[in-house]
Amino acid sequence: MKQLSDEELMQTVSEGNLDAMTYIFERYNVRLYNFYYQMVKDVAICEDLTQNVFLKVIKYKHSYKGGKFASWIFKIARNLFYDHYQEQKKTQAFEDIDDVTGELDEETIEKEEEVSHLMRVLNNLNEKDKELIVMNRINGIKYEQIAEIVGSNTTAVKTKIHRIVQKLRTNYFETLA
Amino acid sequence: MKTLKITLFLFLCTFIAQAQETYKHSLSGIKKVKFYTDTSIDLTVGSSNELVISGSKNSYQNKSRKEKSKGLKALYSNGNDNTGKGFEVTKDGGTLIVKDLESFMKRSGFKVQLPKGIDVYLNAGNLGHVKVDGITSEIEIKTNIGDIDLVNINGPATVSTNTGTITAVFSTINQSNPISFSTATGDVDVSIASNTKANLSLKSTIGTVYTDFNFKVKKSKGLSPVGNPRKISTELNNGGVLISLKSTTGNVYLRKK
Amino acid sequence: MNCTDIENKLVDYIDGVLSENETKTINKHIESCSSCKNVFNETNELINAFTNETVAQPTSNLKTSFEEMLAQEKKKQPKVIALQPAKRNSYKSVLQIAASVAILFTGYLLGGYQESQNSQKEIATYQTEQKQLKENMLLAMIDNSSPSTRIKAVNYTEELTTPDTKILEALIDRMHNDSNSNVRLSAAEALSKFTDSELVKTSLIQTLTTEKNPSIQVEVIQILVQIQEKRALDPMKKILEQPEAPDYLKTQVNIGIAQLI
Repeated sequence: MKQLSDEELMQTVSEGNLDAMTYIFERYNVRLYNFYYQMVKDVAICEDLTQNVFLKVIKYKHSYKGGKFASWIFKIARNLFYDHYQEQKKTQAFEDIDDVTGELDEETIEKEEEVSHLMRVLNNLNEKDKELIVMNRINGIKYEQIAEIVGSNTTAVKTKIHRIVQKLRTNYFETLA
Repeated sequence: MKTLKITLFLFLCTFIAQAQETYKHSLSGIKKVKFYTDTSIDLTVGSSNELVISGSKNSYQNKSRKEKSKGLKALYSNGNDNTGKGFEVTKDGGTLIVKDLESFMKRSGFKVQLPKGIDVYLNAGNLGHVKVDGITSEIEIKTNIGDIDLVNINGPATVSTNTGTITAVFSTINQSNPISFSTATGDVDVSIASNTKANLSLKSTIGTVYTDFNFKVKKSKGLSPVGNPRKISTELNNGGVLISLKSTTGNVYLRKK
Repeated sequence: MNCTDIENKLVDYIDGVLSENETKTINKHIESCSSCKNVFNETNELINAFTNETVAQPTSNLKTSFEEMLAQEKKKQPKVIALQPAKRNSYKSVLQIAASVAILFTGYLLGGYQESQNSQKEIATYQTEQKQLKENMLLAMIDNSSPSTRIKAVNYTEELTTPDTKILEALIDRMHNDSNSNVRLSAAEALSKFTDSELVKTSLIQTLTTEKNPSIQVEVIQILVQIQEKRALDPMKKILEQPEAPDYLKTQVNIGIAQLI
């Protein structure tokens, strides 16, 4: 089964052979985890989200109708991320009320230091921009494929990403102490 | 004329069989092959989906003796020779069982070829050594005093011997199931790629553990010399499948490939 | 090309995907235009920063929970799987979110309170379910025909802090009866973590009289000495009387006896 392409593996999964999922997991877990990890620096949340992607792949196995598997699975990953993000926004609204002082404790500060300068700048982008740049520059997904994932065309995606790079560049060097 | 043709045909058949001294069995529908012998097994990867046993020369069987047994059937107390080569081959579901009926004295080892993706169980009895090259599926090996020599394997592997030495050179390591080697008095000598992800458990009760990997050893608690399990546990490249290497009195060597 | 054109092409320039002509033009321009040269240097550094960003590795939990999930999904398989998304909070549609925003004004505090109550309950159920799932999986795997799968199952018990009797019995069964000595050895090691249980203690002592593999015998002696189990003395002395017991085993027994008395 190792020799099969992603698409062929997914085909066997949709035919009901769930064992093929193990190979899909092996091929995609680190990529998906990284996709999430650049967006949310929380191991537990990222692992949960990654795990949920595979669960969804199984649940919706019949809706896979061929086509580039990587695009399909990243579409699922993205949707899950936005669900999570919406959820997060809601709960944060509650938390803000509780946390009136808003002071940073030492632990948070320590964590901040572990994060690279690049990541700090990335975090200032809006979620859409951040996602595009993470997919392209960190996950190494090609413009064409990103276009497929986000439902756009290649030229638009490329232009957008190049603009984000320039925006990042300004922030990156302005804030570089 | 007709009888002559038939005799000639039969003659040719026996001639070919004797010249090749190989036994073949199709492996369609077979997932695992088990071997029981008391002599050495040399297992390599073949090109067909067949079990091929060769080189099983009978050292005591000189020509004149072969003549004597012509037309007769060999009888064994431990099984029924259904191969004509002193092996009993039976099928149990998806498992093919190959039982060597000859004694250690009579057979000085044999060679086996299998497709690389088949699971194997090798039991080399009291005296046999085991060599495996290129099998990428699950391997289970048991010897008593024989050495075990594995190359180009991926795991999972479960290998045990009493006094033999276990040597293994892994290509990439399959992360699905653990690898576990144990010997009572022999050494364990394993080479893996330096980027292998694994949880290591290395232990020698009386001997020493050696490695050229750089990793931090979690100190075990307690100082009592006997109570102290002397086990070295650590994660390699952030952890992965468990690789457990144990020797009671021998040494354990873990090398970078 | 003017400076804006150059800036727009810089990423492709750094990625090396431009045509030879375009590359040459940019080369020339950068040499003569100090502001573009600066932009190029910065962009280049930024792009390299991305490449240097290390690949994050998930912990082994991800694989474990994936395998659990897969095992569970496999069990469900014969059933027809509905194509509608599961009704879970996190998968709310836009409409549902809109609706809940509307409700938010009227039942803000009450809703928030109830939600947290429910989610706490959910987490508790989830955790028990997880434990149950892990235990069931382990019990299913421990009888597998592949020895490495059995070892894997045995190792899973390390993650359980309080395994129930069924699990302990399964482990003891492996330690006493498995055909593969590595599985027996792994089971003995796993049981060494649960020596508070009387059942485990007696089974370890029993192993001393039944087990013939010296590696396992040594392991079990070490476990019993560590927990100062005096009842192990008699079976240990019996090993000394066995003519077939190898010398190093007898040495270990003698050291052990000295520590127990």
